[in-house]
Amino acid sequence: MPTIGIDSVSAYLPGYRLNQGLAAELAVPPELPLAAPDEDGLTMAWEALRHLDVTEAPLVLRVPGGDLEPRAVAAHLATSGPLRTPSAVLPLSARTGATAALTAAPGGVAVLADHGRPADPADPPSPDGALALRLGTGRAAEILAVETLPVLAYDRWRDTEPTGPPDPRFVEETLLATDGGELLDRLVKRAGRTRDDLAGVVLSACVPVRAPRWAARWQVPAVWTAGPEYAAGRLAAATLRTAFERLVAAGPGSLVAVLELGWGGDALLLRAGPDIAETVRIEARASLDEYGYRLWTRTLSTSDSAMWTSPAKLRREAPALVGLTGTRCATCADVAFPPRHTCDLCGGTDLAPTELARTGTVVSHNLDRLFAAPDRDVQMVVVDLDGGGRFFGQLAAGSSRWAEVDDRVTLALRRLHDGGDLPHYFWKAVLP
Amino acid sequence: MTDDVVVLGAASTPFGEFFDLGFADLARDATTSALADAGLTLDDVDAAWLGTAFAYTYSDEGNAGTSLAEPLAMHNRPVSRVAAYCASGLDALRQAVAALRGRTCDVALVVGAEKMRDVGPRGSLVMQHVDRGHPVLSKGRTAPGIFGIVAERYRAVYGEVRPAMTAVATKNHAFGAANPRAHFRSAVTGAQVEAAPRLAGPIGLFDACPTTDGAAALVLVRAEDARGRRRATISGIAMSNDLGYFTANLSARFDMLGFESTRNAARAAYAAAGVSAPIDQLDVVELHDCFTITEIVNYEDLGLCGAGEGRDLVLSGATGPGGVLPVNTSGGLKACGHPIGATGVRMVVDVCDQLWGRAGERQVPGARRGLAHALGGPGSLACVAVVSDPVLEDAA
Repeated sequence: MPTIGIDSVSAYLPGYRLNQGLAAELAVPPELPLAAPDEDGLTMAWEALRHLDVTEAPLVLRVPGGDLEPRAVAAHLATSGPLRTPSAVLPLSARTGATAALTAAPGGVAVLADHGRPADPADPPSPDGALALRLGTGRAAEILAVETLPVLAYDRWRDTEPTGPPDPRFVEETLLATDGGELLDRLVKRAGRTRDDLAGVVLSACVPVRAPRWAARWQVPAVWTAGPEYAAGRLAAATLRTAFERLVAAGPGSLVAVLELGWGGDALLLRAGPDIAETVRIEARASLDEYGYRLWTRTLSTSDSAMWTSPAKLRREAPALVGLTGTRCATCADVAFPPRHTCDLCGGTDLAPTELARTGTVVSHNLDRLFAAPDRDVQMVVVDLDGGGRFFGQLAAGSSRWAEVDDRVTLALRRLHDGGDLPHYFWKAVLP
Repeated sequence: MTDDVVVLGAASTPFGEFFDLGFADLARDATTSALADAGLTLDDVDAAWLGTAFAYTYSDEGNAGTSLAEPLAMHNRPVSRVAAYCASGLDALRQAVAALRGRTCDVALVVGAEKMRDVGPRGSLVMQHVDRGHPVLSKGRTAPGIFGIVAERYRAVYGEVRPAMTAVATKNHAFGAANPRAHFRSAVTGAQVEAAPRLAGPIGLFDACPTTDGAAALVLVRAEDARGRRRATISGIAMSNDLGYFTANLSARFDMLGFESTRNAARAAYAAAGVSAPIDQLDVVELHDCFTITEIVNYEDLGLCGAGEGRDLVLSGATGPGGVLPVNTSGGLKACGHPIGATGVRMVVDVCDQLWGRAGERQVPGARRGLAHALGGPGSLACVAVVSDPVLEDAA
C-alpha cells in the first residue's frame, strides 16, 4: 500500500484524575485522564481541533461509548464555527478503531474523541480525550502498513459460548499467543520489516494487558497501553495518542506498531517523520482530584431533567451562541453579543455578523453557591473580549483556582446541561 | 397643579410567610384596608391596576387583572395587570397616575401582590432561572449572582465594600425590628451578618432579602377631588428601561457599579418634582435593597451621594435612625421581605405613613417629602416616585 502521511497531530487530555484510593477501588491507573463534568466527545474534539487551524470540513469519527449519536454530533458541529460543518460523521464499528481514523480522511482532517460514561459509578472508567490530525506529506509520521484480522479466536470462542462470562485467562492466551502474534507478523511483513525494527507496540485489548509478558512473548522491546483494556475499539484517540507520544520519544525514523485486539483485530505501523517533535502537540489540563468525576457519573444526566427546551429555539440561536458570533455596528463599531437588531450604544441598524475573539479579560465575577450544577460552586465571570464584545458565563469546570478581576481567560466550548433530552453547549472561561 | 394625583388611602398587609392565606386573600385584605383608609368603598373605584411579577409560577393565581377583580367582585370596570419584574408595583402606580391625569378614571385602585412562600420544590426564584430561563444564557445566572457581580466590580474599582454591606444589613434589620408589618423583626449584629453562609461572591445570607408573601394597596384621586383631606401628592413618577433581562451582563454599557435605569428614572422623577438636591430635599427614602450592595449603589444612582461614596454614606450613619436622610425606615426589602409585585406599592404606603405621621417609633420627625425606588429584572428597568406632603406642593 502507498504510505499515508500525517503532517500534524493535536491531542487534548482532560484534567480530572482519580486519587489513589479511588483508582485502586476501581482497578484503574491513577493517571487516567477523565473528562470534567462539562466536557464530552464534542467539546474535547473542539479542544483538539482548535490547534490545527482547521479551514476545511473535518471528518469526525464517533467512538463507541459516547453519549451523542452521529446525527446529534453532526447537528451540533454544524452550529459551531470553530469545528465547521463536518464532511461526515462516521460511527466506528466494533472492529475498527485507531486504524480507521488514519485511513478514512485522505488529504483532510480527522478528529476522534473517547468519551465513555460508566453506567454505574462503581464501573471502572475509561480514559477520555480527543485527537485531531491533518493528513499530508508525512512531516509528523507516516503509516507504512495497515492490517486486519476480521475474526479472532476470542470471537469464535465468544460465538460458541454465549452464556457465562468469558474466561479472561483463555482470552488473554488466545490474543497473546495466537491472534496478536499473527496480526503483528502480518503487519511488519507487509511493510517489509521485522519485529526487530520496532521501538515497541501500543496495545489496546479486551482483557488486562500485562505489558512485560506480552513484550517477552512477541519479542519486542516494549508494549505500551493506553488505558484499561476491556474496551478495545473505544479507545481510538487514547491509543493513537499513546503511539504518537512514543514516536516523539523514539525520534525521527522510529517505528511503532499499534494493535487493537478483541471483536476483531486491527493494526497499523507508524514511522516517525522528520518533524515529529514539532508537529505533535499534546495539551493536558492540570490534574485535579476525582470529586467532579463522582458527581458526573452520578448526576449529570438528570440534574436538569425538568428543563424543557424548544429544539426550534436551539436551532435558531445556536449558530450565533455556539458559533460565538455577535454583531458589529457600522456606525459606531460597537460589538454586541448575542447578535442584536439595533445597536445598544447608538441605535444604528446597520449591523453585520462578526466572530468574537476567544480571549479576554475578567472585569467582574461571582462565586455562586446557589446554582445547581454537577460541579462544585459555579463561578460566573464577565469578560471583556479582545477586539470588542462582552461575555458572561461560567468558569469551566476543572479550573485549578477561581478567577479574579483582570485575569486573562480563554473561552472554550463546554456542555452546559441536557434539557429536554437535548445537549446544550455554550462557552465557558478557562484560566491559563 | 390641577393634574396632581394624590394618595387618599394607603395600606399593606403584614409581610411574611402565610400558609393560611392565598394570593386572593392578600390582595383583598390590602384593598379593603386601603379603601377604609381613604374613607371610600369599592363602588367608588372605577379602575384598578394590579402589579404582580411572576404569574402562574409561585401560585396558580395572578395571571391577569382578573385575579384582583375576581376576589373583589369588581365587575364591569377595567382591571389591568402590570408586570415589570421587581418594579411591577411601582409601575402599576405609574399607570394609575397616568390614567388619572388623562381623566380616563376618577378614583383609581393600585394593588401590588405576590405569593411566594407555598410553592412546589422547583418553584423558587433560583429554580425558575434554572428551569425556565434561557437554555444557555441563564445557566448560572441567579439573582444573588447578578448582584454579586456588582459587588465584586464595586470592590475592584472602589475598594473593600464588606463593612458597608454589613452596615446596610444591621441598619435595615434594626428598622424592621420596629416595624410590626416586617417579615423579619429581629435586629442582627455585624458579626452575625458576616458569619452567615455565602450565596454568591461576597453576598451572604444576611445580605439578601427573603422571599415573602404580601400585598399592599393605594387609593388615588386627582388633587382637585381631595381638597381638605389628608393626602400625599405623587409629585414625580418615572420609569426607565435599560438592559436586557438575560443579557444585562453581556452589555458593555453596563458598568456594574450601579444601574442606568435608576439614574434615568430618578432624573425624570426629580425634574417633575422639582428636586435638585435630593439629600437635602428628601426626608425619607424607601429604596430597593434586594441585596445590601444594591442599597449602596442605589444611593449613588439616586444622587444621594457621588459615585463611589455610597459606602461612606451608610457608614456615616446618615441613612440610619436620626441621620440626615433615613433610608428604608420600614426595614426595606431586607427586613420587610420582597413579595415582588407588592414591594413598590408597599414602599409608597411606608412613605405615606411617614408623611402622615403614623410610622410609630420609626417616624422621621417632620417628614414632608419621600422617595420610593424599585429596581427590576436585575437592572433591566427601574421606577422612581417622589411623594410629597401637599403643603410642600402648595408652597411651590
